[in-house]
Amino acid sequence: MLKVQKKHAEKEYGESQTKEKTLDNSKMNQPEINSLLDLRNLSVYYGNHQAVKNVSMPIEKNKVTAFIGPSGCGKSTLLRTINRMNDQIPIAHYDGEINYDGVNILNQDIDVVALRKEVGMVFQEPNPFPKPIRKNITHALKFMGMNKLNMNEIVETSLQQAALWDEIKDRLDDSALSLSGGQQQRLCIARALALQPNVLLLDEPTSALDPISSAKVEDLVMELKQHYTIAIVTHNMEQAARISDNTAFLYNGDLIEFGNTSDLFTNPKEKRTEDYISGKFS
Amino acid sequence: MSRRIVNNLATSVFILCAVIMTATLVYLLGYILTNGLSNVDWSFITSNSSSSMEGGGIKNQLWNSFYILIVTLIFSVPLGVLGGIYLAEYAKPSKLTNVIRTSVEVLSSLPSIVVGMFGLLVFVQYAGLGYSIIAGALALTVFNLPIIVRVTEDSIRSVPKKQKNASLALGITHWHTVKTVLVPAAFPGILTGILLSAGRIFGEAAALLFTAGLSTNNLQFDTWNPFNSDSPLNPFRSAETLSVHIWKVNSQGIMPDVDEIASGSAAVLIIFVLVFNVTARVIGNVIYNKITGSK
Amino acid sequence: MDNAQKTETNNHRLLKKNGSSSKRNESRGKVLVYSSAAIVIIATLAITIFLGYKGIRTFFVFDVNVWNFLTTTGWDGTENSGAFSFIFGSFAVTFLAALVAAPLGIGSAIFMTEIAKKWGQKVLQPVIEILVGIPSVVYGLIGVTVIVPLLRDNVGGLGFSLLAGMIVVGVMILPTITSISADAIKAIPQDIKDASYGLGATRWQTIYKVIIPAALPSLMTAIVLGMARAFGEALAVQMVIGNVKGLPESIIDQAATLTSIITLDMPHTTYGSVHNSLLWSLGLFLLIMSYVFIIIIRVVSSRRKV
Repeated sequence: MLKVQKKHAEKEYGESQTKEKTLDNSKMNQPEINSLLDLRNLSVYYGNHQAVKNVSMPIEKNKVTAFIGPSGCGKSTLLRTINRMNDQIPIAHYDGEINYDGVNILNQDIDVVALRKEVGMVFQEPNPFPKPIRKNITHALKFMGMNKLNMNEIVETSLQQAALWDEIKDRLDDSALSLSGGQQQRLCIARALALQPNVLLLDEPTSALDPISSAKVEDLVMELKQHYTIAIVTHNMEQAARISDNTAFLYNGDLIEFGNTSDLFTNPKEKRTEDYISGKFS
Repeated sequence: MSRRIVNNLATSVFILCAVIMTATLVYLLGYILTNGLSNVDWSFITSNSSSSMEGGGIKNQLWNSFYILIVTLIFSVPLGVLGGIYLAEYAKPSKLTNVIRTSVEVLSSLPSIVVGMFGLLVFVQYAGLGYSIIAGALALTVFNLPIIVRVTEDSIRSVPKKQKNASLALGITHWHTVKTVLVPAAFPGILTGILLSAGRIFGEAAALLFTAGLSTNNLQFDTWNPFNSDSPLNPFRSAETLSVHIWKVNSQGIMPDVDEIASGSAAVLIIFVLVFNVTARVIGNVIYNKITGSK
Repeated sequence: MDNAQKTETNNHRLLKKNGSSSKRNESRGKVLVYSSAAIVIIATLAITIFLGYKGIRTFFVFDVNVWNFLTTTGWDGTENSGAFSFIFGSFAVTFLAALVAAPLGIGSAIFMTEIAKKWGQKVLQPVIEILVGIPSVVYGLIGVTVIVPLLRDNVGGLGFSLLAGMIVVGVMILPTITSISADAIKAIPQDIKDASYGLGATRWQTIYKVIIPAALPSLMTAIVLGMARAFGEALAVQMVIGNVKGLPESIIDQAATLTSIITLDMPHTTYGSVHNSLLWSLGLFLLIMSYVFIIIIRVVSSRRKV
C-alpha cells in the first residue's frame, strides 16, 4: 500500500518538477544539478539570535550532502529546519525558503506531519523507543493505518536495508534497549526507512558510537544513497570526505563554501575552509 | 575547644529531632496496630455495624470506602491525567496557563472541609444528588484532581526529550506521540501517584461528612441491581466510609464498645493505607524495570 | 510565495487539508486536553463563586455586621453572633503547631541532608512518607485516646484543649515541613558548603552561617505550607480541642476553631437559616485564608535563592 503511494508521489513529483521549470527561471541557471531540496536565502532565528544566515544551496537527489563546521555554526539547526523539527522550539522562526517538490516547506500551511513522513531524521544519540524491536518499526506504520500483513514485510525489508536483519532477526520481540549502541542507531535508521521517505537527515549519527559501529553506519549511508537523498551533519572531517558527494562548510551561521566534496577538501577556495579542514581550528 | 562542644551539641540536637520523628511514627503505628488489631477479627470485618449494641462490625463501611475510592478515581484520573498532559505538553507561556497553574495550586491547598461544603451545596443540594456515593466521589474528585494533574505533569516532563523527538520525526502527530510514547513512558510515575492519592482518598473523612453522609443502609450483598436502595452498588445511597465511621463512633457513638470499634477500624484503615503506599512503590519499580529493559 | 506559485501548489500533498486524518487526530487530542484544563479552572471558579456568594449573603440578607462578626465573641446562631473565638482558635492552633513542627522538622531535614545522608534516605524518607499518609481521623483518635488523658493526668484541665490541638496538628504538619525543608537544603550547591568547610568552619557553623541563610526562603515556604495545612485541618482538631464557644484563657483550656465549629454545627442547622448562613461565612473565611497562604508562599518563594 505504501509502495503504491510512493510511486504515486514520485509521479506527482516529476510532474510538478516539469511544470515548475516553466515557472521558475532560477532553476534554469543550474541545469546540471538535479536538486531535490533547494535552500534559498534561508535564515533561522532563535528569538533575536540568528543561527543560520541567508544560506542558499541545493541538496542533490540521490547524493550525500555533508554539513561541516565548528560547534554552534548552525549546521544542526539547518538540518532540523528541513523537517521542521525546529518548530519544537517556540522562539524559532525562519526567513527565506526551502523548496521541496514545488512547495516552500517553511510555509505556514505545510502539514509538518506529512512532511516528516517524507523527510526522515536520525538523531545524534540513538533514540529507539523502549519497546520491542519490531514495535519500534511498526509504531509509525500503525499510526498510518497499515494492516498487519504488510507490516511484517516492511519490518524485514527496512531492517535489511539498514543491514541489521541478519544480526537480530531471531530476537525481534526483545527490547530495543537490549541492542548495542551501533545496532540501536541502525534500528533508528531502519525505523525511518520503513516510512519510505525521500530524504534522510542524519544529525551526527555516529558521534555517540564506537569506531566499528561508526564504520557500519557509514557503509550503510553509502549504500542508501542509491535510493534516498541524504543530508548528514558531522564533526568528523574524514567521515565527510569518505561518504559525501557534496559538502557545505558553515561558520557562524554563514555558508562559507559549498561544492563537490573532493574539490572542497583538496582545493578549498576559502581560507577559512582550508583552516578548518586542516584542523587549525575546530 | 568550645567550638567543638557547640558543634557536638548541635549535632546531638539534630539527631534528637530525627529520633523524635521516627519514634513518633513507630509509636503511632505500634499503638494503632497493637491496640486495634486485638479488636479485629473476621466477624468484625464481615458484620454490619450497630448503633447501640455491642459487637458491631465494619463490613458496609469498608465496602463504601472502596466504592467511593473507585468512583473517585474513575472521575479524577482521566481528568487529572489530561490536565497534566495539558500543562506538560500543550501549555504555552501565557496568562491562561498561569490561571490553570494557580487553579491547581488553589485546589490543592483547599481545606477538605471547604471542599465538603462546596460538595454539599453543589452536588448534594443544587444537583439534587442528596447524601450519596456519587456526591462524595465528586467532592473527592475536586480534592484529588490537583494531585493527579501534578504527578502527571512531572512524570511526563521527566520522559527524555529524545523519545518525543523520535516519534515526531517519524511523522506522527503530537497527540499520538503523547498517547503512545509519552504517557506509556510516564506511566510508572503516574501510577505511583495515583496509588498514593488512593491512600489519601481512602483516609479522607472531612470532605465526606456533608456529601456522602453519616449513615448507611444495611447492604444486601446479594442484591446487585444498582437501583435497589440496599444494593452495595447503588451510587445514589448515602454511604458512611470507614474513616467517617471512626469519627462518628468517637464523637457520637453510644454503644458500649466504642473504643474497641474505633481502634479496630483505625487499624484496618491504616493497614489499607499502608498497602496502597507500599504497592505504589513496588509496582512503580517493577514497571520501571520492565519498560527500561533492564531485566 | 508569489501568487502564481500559490495556486500552483494549492492542492499539494504536503499542505494542510481540512479533515485529514492527522489533523483530526490532533484536534481530538486538543479538545480533550483543553477541556480538562478548563474543568480545573471551572472547579476553582465554582468553589470561589459559590462560597463567596453563600458567605457574603449573610451580611446582606441577614444584616449581620461584618466587623461585629469578625471581632466579637458569643456564638448563638443569631444575627449578633461573633466568630472571633473561632478565628482566634484557628490561628492559635496554627501558630502553636508551627512552633512545635518547624524546629523539629527543619532539624530532621538537616539531619537527613547534612549529618546522616544514608540514614536519611533509608529511614527518614519512608518515615515521612508514611506519616503524610496517615489519615487525620487516625491522628484525632490517637489524640483522644492517648494525648488527652495524658494531659488530663499530668498538666491539668480536662485534657481537651488548645494544647492537645497543638500537639496533634504539630505532628500532622511535621512531615510536610521536613520534606520540603530537606528538598531545599539538598538544592544548595555543594561548592557553597565546601567553601565554608574549606575555611575551617565546623559543621554547625556551616549549617548556621551558610546553609540556613541560603535555604531560608524555602524553609519559610515549608513552614507556611505546614501552617496552611494546620489552618484547614478539621477532624483531628475537632476531636481533641473541646469545642467550647468562648475564648480560651490558657493553653490548657478548651477552645474551638473555624473548622471544628463548621463540622459540629453544619448538620444541626436548617438550610437557609441565619445559623446556617453564618457557617458559610466561616467557610468563606477559610477559603480566603487559603488564598492568603498562597499569596504569602508566592511572596516568600520569589526571594528564593536556591
